[in-house]
Amino acid sequence: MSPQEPVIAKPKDASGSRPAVSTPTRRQYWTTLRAMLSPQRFSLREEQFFLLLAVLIGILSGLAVVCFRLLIDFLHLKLLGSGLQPSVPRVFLAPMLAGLVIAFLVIRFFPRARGSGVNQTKAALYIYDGYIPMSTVVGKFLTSALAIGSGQSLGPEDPALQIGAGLASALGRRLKLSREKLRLIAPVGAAAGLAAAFNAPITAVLFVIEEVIGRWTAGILGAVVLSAISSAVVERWFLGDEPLFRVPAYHLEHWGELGAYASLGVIGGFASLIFVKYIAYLRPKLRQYPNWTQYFQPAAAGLLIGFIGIRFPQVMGAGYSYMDQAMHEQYTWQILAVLGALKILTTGLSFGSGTPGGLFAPTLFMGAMIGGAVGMAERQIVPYLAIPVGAYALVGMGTLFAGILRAPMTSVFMILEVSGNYSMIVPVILSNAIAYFISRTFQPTPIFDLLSRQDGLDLPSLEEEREVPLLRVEDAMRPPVGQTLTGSMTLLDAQQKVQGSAQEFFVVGMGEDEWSGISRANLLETPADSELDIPLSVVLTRRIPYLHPDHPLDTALRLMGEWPLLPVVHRANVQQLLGVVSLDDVMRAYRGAGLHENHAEPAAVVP
Amino acid sequence: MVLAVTLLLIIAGFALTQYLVNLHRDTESSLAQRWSTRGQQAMQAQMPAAAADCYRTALSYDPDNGQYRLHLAQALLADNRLAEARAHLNSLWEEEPADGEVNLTLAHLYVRRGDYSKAVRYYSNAINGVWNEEPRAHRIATGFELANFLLQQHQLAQAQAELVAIQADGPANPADQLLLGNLLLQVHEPQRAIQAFDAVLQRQPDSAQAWLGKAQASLVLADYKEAEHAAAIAADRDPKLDGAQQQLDVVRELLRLDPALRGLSLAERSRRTAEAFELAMKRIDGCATQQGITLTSQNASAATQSGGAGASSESPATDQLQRRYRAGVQKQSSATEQALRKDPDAIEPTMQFVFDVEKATAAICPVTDKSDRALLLLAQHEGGR
Repeated sequence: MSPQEPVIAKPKDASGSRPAVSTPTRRQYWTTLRAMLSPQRFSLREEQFFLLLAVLIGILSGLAVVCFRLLIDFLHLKLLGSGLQPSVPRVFLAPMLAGLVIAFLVIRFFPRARGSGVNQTKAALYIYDGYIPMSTVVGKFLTSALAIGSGQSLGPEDPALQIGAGLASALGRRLKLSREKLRLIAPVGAAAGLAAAFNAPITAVLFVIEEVIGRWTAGILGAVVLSAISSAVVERWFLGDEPLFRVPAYHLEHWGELGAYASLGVIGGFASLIFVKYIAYLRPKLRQYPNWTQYFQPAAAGLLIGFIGIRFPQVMGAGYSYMDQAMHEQYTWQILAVLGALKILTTGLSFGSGTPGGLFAPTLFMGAMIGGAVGMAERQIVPYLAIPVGAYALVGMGTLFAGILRAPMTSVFMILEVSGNYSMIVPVILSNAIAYFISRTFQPTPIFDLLSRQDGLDLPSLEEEREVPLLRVEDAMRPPVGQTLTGSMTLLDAQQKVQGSAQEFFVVGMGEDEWSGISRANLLETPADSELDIPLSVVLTRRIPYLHPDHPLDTALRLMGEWPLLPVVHRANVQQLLGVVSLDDVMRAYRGAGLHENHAEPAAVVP
Repeated sequence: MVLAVTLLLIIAGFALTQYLVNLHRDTESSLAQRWSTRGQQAMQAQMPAAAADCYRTALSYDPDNGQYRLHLAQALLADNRLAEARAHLNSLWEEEPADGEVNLTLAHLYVRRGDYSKAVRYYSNAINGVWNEEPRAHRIATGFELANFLLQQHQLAQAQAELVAIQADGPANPADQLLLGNLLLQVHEPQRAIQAFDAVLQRQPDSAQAWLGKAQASLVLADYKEAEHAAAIAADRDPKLDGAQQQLDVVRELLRLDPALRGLSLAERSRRTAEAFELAMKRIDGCATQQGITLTSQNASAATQSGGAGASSESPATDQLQRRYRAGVQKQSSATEQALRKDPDAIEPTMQFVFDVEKATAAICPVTDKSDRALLLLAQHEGGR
């Protein structure tokens, strides 16, 4: 018996005495136990370890984001007081003085804390091999909390995303992960941070896939989902599982309502456009000023915001409670429109001045206000529709999210997730699609790409990548014309068949879903007379890979190897040859030529 | 090793975060409480706008607190911000559709908006809803409110139904029984009103208001003796009780003037009828003077000469008074005590004339004299006798 095998007591025999077996000693017990608990037994493959790590990252990020939100509330209370309408001195002084402190901290200690967390996570993924310094996490945590808590018009989601990514990066470095995994770990943390900040794991997963990673791959998807879920669980554990907004009941009752939502899409689209153009103009403009002015720019922005905040305190900070109020018809449409416009102004000031903080919450705020205003105005114009204003405000959020952040999938699912109301799906999709289309038409560069280019980073534009048409095998293949060869033909028959052909290589249908190939020169080599009646299937022992028309063209490149020609076959019937593709064909397709050329060269065989 | 440190970090992080969250919750809870108290003070000081701000702040610290939201809605309602109040009440109603207080506040909202049917619906929901404290008392109070609202809307039948339902529930509180009795009187349910007043008197035999109510109900039922008895006790128990002495005087006057009381001799009936006739003629005269109407105008004479059906160009009130005056003048000779004694059959038509005059003049001039009030009551009961 090997030491690892457990010792089993054997049954007594008929006489009641035990059979003659050796009784395990104490040492054997210990040996067995040690073997059961040995590290080798628990060792994980890197993929499994990565998933476990994603859970740990989710928990850590969740904890960090909960503390971040508590710090924002604490600072808000201390700086602006407990009332919804802060006193005038506080409104003036708090954002301005906080702006001075923030500028000092950012310029002197945490230079990478300014700017978009999304872009910095993308930079970590594409440029810095997953590296986000811990000082950036600390800096983002402190300066963003101070900015939002003091009333700067910014949101906590983007910093939370970067805090999550930074924690993940730090943990990955400590664990000495491979370069590939270290690169991917930052988006995993980003999803966790965003999920905890939004209390919406699906939204976080989609956003990270759509905007940071840019592609769906099974390897990363599992980790992103796990980290987002564990982070959201931690957040809900501490702060409760209430959704962000109390959404009034809504059902689509009249198809005319879709017209109303379409008009919201148009208005939201142009509002998004104004905001993005404003940021695109203001940010570089403020950076042109001498360096010393950057110490005062957040304070100046804070002063202006404070001035606005005396009359409209709603525009200060993230403003989630006011979005809730807008959804419950607590403002007139005129006030809602003014709040939407002022939020565009104040967020531009805060963000343009380099104050750390995110654009998610302000985007939702603008959407809620503009949506509410449109809803109330439409209610007066078309009273028979009687759509609740809350529904407009909610759809407005998604509309501005799609128009400004240009994440159309995320914008739809975000609204469904934060509202928990799937009857909104048609209006949300319609309005978001219109806003997205308007924004893309008049502002081809998405805001995150715009910001990264302003910062001198050439990060891949995932929206642009999505727009690049994917080349497929069908774009390069040639039709199957010419002589046909099959595995059942004898060498003599095959020689006679190719005799008059100018073709250099022939694919051969071998039957049984297999293909092979033979060059003209090899085929015409004169063998001994006795071998001419051997079937091709006996001679051709190597199999040639085949393609389907819908395969991406790079698949053809990877499979091509030493074969000059690959068969393209039908998916339902692999024996049916649809065409052939050569390296030249592939290159021609990539160069944008030859897709519609008439290839006269005959090709292959239909078995 | 790193994993172990990470796990330790997570455990420590959980403990620290839990501590911070508890601290944060305590702070928010005390802030919410503080702002709610300020809201209550503002409401008591009749400053609903300030109260609404306070409750809104309280709610921002404790968004799930339904009481704060309800108080906010009530403050907004008091401040006439009906749309905002409705939004909060609707969200509360969606969460707790059976909550009595939410339904009652929604009823108040729709009363303010003038939406009769919705107001009644929410009042009914409130009556049948869930009340956390003193459910019976709340249901009865809401029932009274609904009955009052229905009375204001002149929906007598519905008000009657509500009050009958309250009576069936048997309010234990004498004050509620008293209110019930008075409301039943308003919806023309004197018999049930007497039951309610008797219920009060069983527990509070000296309740002057209950005696007065009973007197009024008895009067409506034309039980004049009982009415006098009850009114006399009411006036005795509380001489300062508004209307008690007046009621007693009217009932006594009625008993003095009614010629139809049982056991009266012909002479007495004739005397009473003649007195009533004189009072009716005086009533016409007094009312005409009050309205500045000349009873013996040219038109009146002409109309009299042409058989009384002349086309008059005067106002309807003038016309009515002049017409009755002329009829009275024509009756004068047959409405004396002697004439009536000789012709007892004329008693009834004479009293009919008196009742007609009292009803007609009551529509034109206020009734202030106790004799006229007594005759008017007789006139009103005359149809039911």
